[in-house]
Amino acid sequence: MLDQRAFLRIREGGFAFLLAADQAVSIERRNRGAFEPVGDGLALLAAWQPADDGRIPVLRLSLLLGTPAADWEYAIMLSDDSRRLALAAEHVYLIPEHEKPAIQSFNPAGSTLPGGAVITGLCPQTEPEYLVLDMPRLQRCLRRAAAAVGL
Amino acid sequence: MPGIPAVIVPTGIVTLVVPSAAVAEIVSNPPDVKPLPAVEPWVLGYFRWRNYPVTLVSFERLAADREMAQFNRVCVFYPLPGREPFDYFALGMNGEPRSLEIPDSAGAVSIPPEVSNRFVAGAVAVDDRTLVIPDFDALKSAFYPDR
Repeated sequence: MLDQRAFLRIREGGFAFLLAADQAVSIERRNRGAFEPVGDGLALLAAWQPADDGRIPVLRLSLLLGTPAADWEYAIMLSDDSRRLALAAEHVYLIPEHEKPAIQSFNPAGSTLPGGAVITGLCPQTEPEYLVLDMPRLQRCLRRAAAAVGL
Repeated sequence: MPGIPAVIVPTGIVTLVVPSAAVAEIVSNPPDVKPLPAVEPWVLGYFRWRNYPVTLVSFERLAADREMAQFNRVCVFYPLPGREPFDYFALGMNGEPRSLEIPDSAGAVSIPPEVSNRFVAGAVAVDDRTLVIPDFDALKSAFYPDR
């Protein structure tokens, strides 16, 4: 289990995102061959842990956010009571709590996501400015998107 | 008799007129606009203004589904009613802004066909010019759906 007070810096589609690690279980780095594509931006990831009996649905962050997709390399495993889900991105880096950048609230207008934007802030002192993602809302979007394709 | 203080905000399709009280500032130099993910095509991105991140909207794309002309200014608006105090937004402008008072005698005219009625509250004729009044409630619904 990741330090629940830590943060994740995610790079995806030319953007940098900051995500609280409070619902993330682990970060897995896999080569592209470990991802079995099952749709546009969706994949199954096998063998997370030996005890797992099934494959893990992985959702590309770019699918939700409409950003250009590059190579899949990292997966963030998310805790979920009913089943496991993962979020894939080009790069993920764990930021310890004491290195957390300052966050400024920001509600961008015109979100295309159901339920509104998952962006709730940004980090004005980073370059580029990290966009802060709302983890619970992001997880709901992930579940909805995965369910829509039968995962 | 004094009229209603207003600001003319030219866009690439129509000339908007908005209450002066809604305008925080007209920014002359086009700001450094950064892209945003997961937003409608009429959101051009955000820029920094007085240390706030401000969403920049193209009225041309929003109300007419037309490509935005090169903007030479942006009009920064105060947050819409009920929104957070930091929810400033801006419209790209294509022309010179101007302050004026809308006289009480200004007559309502037809909304120009170039824009969608959905985002327009009405239009008035001032000095033989048609000025379009945006519908801020409709803008709020479009900007912050489900929120």
